[in-house]
Parts: sequence; structure tokens; C-alpha cells
Amino acid sequence: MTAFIALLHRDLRVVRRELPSFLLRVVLNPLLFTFIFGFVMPRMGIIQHGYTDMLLPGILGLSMTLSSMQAVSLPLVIDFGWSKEIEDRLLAPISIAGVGLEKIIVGVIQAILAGIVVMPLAWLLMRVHLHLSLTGVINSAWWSAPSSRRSKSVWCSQCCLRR
Amino acid sequence: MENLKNYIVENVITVRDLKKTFKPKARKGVEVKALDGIAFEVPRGEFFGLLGPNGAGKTTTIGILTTRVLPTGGVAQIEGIDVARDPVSVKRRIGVVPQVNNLDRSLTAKEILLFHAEYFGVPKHEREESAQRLLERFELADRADEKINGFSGGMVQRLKIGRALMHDPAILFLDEPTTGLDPQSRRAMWDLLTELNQKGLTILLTTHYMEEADQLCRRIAIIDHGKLLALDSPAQLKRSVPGGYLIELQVRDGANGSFGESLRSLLGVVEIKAENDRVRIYADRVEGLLANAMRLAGEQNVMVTDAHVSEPSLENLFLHLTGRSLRE
Ligand SMILES: Nc1ncnc2c1ncn2[C@@H]1O[C@H](COP(=O)(O)OP(=O)(O)OP(=O)(O)O)[C@@H](O)[C@H]1O
Ligand SMILES: [Mg+2]
Repeated sequence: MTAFIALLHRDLRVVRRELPSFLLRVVLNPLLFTFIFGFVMPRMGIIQHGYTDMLLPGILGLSMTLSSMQAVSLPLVIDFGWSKEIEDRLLAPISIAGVGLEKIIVGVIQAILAGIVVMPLAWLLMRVHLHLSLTGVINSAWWSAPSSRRSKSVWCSQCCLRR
Repeated sequence: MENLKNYIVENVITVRDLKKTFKPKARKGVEVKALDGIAFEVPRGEFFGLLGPNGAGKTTTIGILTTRVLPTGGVAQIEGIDVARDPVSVKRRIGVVPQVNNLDRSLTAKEILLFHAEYFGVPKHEREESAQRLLERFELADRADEKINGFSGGMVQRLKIGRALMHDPAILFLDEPTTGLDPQSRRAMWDLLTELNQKGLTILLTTHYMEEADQLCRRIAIIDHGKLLALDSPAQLKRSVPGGYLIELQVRDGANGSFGESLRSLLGVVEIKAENDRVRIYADRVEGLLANAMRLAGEQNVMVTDAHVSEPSLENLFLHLTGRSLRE
């Protein structure tokens, strides 16, 4: 358990250090989407009524999935590949599954972080055209689920490759 | 009870009939038998060497002992714990210096040490203290807050050892720790390892440098193609090479055939080569041989101006065991 918390501590330290670039990555893409589809196009009136209600959870899900994938799965692919850095973590007194679980949790944390940042921004941008409901929010939570599943599947396939 | 402990030789590493076969990844690939029934035991406090050429199976052996590779057969135990069955308990007891650089590239040198200790649950003030101590010991203190991207090979190597020592392991595994170091750094590394061993740390080291194994290790296992060829102390191993010792005599007025022929009768001599003013004696052992040779020279009025005795090298031994040189 100590090792698990320490691993989490290590990953969060890295997240904190790379926060500016992380935020930029997280914010830029959805911001452009919302600006065009949620602000400009409704203004011009070429988009159906209610479209933005779908757009907000969609953008949210998208940014959560992408950000956690970029932040966890891609570095993991490098760790497993040429840098072998994963062996540094595997030296810790914790099972392989424990290291995997920790990575999944870090991915989820980053996804939530991305959601927290993107949600108010997107909402601000297209608030005039929005009829936000609770179902919309739940919907978006559904969308974020694949992010953690994605990092898990990368982990598993890499583990199989290793043996 | 304490006394008794000193008498019982406790094996901290036990390897029995260890096998590892790498299955081909591509359909047409061939199976690689990296280890083919290796067995050895290492008592506590020993400096043990695994010597072998490229592809001998050294890294695979260390990989299995450090829980990073699963064996396909046989038993490997650390302090009596099976590495395949309880890897977490094994990891707690060992420090690992791998062949490749797998240091954490997202952290600074100091953080690498601190977090590693944190994984092992070392209390905060303790890990701060030992990180500082190790950084100073390894002359990395002034680069402590840098990431390792800009580090030289020697610095990376030292930091890898520092990391392995952070949680105060009972056994240290080093996979070719001096490959790529200049002679000076290598010497410093040898001193460091000797010092650690003298403090009671059990060390298992792999190398393909003969002189390194010779210098450091109390016992050496020579492996090639996944098989154990020999296991003994460096001195004993060298003694086992027939005709391994070489005595060179420089003589004044031309070593005529009769002197060379008379040397042949001496005990332990395997072969004599005489040319011009130089006589080479290949022998199984040297005790008393030089004195006898000098006596013969005196009897025959041959003037010896210089004599040189060279010990058999592990290089010769390897040639003797495998029929090929270590460097091939
Ligand atoms: N992951 C792997 N997949 C397939 N074959 C492997 C793998 N790892 C090692 N081998 C094979 O096992 C054999 C032993 O390799 P190993 O790395 O143990 O040698 P080594 O003694 O450490 O050599 P070196 O001095 O080059 O480091 C080699 O033939 C190698 O090709
Ligand atoms: Mg190797």
C-alpha cells in the first residue's frame, strides 16, 4: 500500500510539474471546437436548435478521453518500448497489477482534471445557446469512461508483449 | 545463538536447474534457449561474479533473480523465497543496477533517489538524509536538481547504483556496471563495490571483462550459451588451465637446444619454446620451477639476464573451456 501511494505521489508530482503544458493541451482543442460549433455557427443560425446541448457533453467526453490517454497511455508505450523505464517502477515492492492499477487511477485523475477545466470554459462560450440539463452532465460522465478503459487495455497488451 | 549464526553458511541466492526459453515472436522465429540448466548458490556477504560473452545469458539470469523475467523451469530463491511465487517480498530485499538506463526521465536526480526510497516506505527524514549522502558520495550533488537527460554515461551509472542503495538492500545485483566507463571511473567503481562488499553487502555482478571478475569476485561462474562451464575462485580457476603459467627467461649467449631440452625434464613443465636469446616455459604450476630452472642454467653456464613469470589469465581459461576467445 505504501508503494502504491508513493507511485501515485510520483505521478502527481510529474502532473503538477507539467501542469502548464497539460492545461494548454487540454484546453486548446475543445476551445476551438466550442468556439466554432458552439458560438460562431449558432450565431450565424446555420445550426439546429439544441445542437449545443449535445456539443457540451461531447466536448467534455472528448477532452477527458484524449487528455488522459495522452498523459498516461502514450508515455507508457514509450516506457515499455525503447526506454524500459517501466522497469524502474517494477522494482518497487508492489505487484505488476498494482503498478497497472495505479496508472489507471492517475489516468482517471487527469481526466477529471481536464473535465473540470473544460466544462466551465465551454459553458461560458456557448451559454446563450445552452439549455443545460442534468442528463447532459451524466451523459458526459459516460463519455469519459473509455479513457480509463483505454489506458488499461494498452497496459494489458504491453504486459502480454513483455513475456 | 549469535555465534551459531556465524558458523552456518547461509545461502542468500539459490539457483537450481534454471531454464529460460524465449518463444519466437514472429511465426518463423527460432526458439532461444537463453538459460539451459544453471545452478549455483551464493552465501551471505560474498562477492559473486557471472562471467560470459555477449548473449551468454547473464542478463537473463539477473532478470529472473530480480523478478523481471519469468523462468520456464527450475528454481530461483532469494533468502529462501521463490522469485516467481512471491516477487514482492523478493523485491524488498534486493537492489538492482540494470544494464540499460531505466532511470525515471521525468524526475531530477535527487527526486529519483527520494521517490525510489518512498516506494520502499523509507521514512521521510531518513530518505532525505541518505539521498544527500549518496549524492555527495557519488559526486552528483551539484547536479542534484537536474533531470538526467544531460548526464554522462558515468553519472547515469553512479545514479543507478545510488538508486539501488536507497532502500538499504541485503543483496545488490549489478549487470555490467563498468561497461562504457573510462579506466579511471572503472577503478573508482571497483573501489566502491569493494567497499560496499566489505560492509557486508552480498553482491552479484555480471561482466565480460576478465580482469574485473578477477579483481573483484571471490567466486566466479563462467557461463556460455546458457550453460555453467565452471565455478570457483579466480585463483583456482586459473590453476585449472593446463600449461597456463608462463616463465620467460632472457639468456645471454643464445639459448642453445641443450638448455631448453634439459628444462623439459623439470616437474610441471608442459612445453618449452626456445628462440635466440629467449626461452619460454609453459607450466602447470610455478612453485620451485623458477629456482630449478636457474639451477640448471648455472650448471650449464647459461647466463640468465632476466626472468618473468606471468599467471594464467582468465582469458586463457575461457579459451581452454570453450575453445574460443572471450572477445569473439
Ligand atoms: N526478451 C527476449 N526475447 C527473445 N530473446 C531474448 C530476450 N532476452 C534475451 N534473449 C536471448 O537470450 C540470450 C541471452 O541473452 P542475455 O541478454 O541474457 O545475454 P547477456 O549474457 O546478458 O549478453 P550481453 O553481454 O550482451 O549483455 C540471447 O541469445 C538473447 O538473444
Ligand atoms: Mg546483458
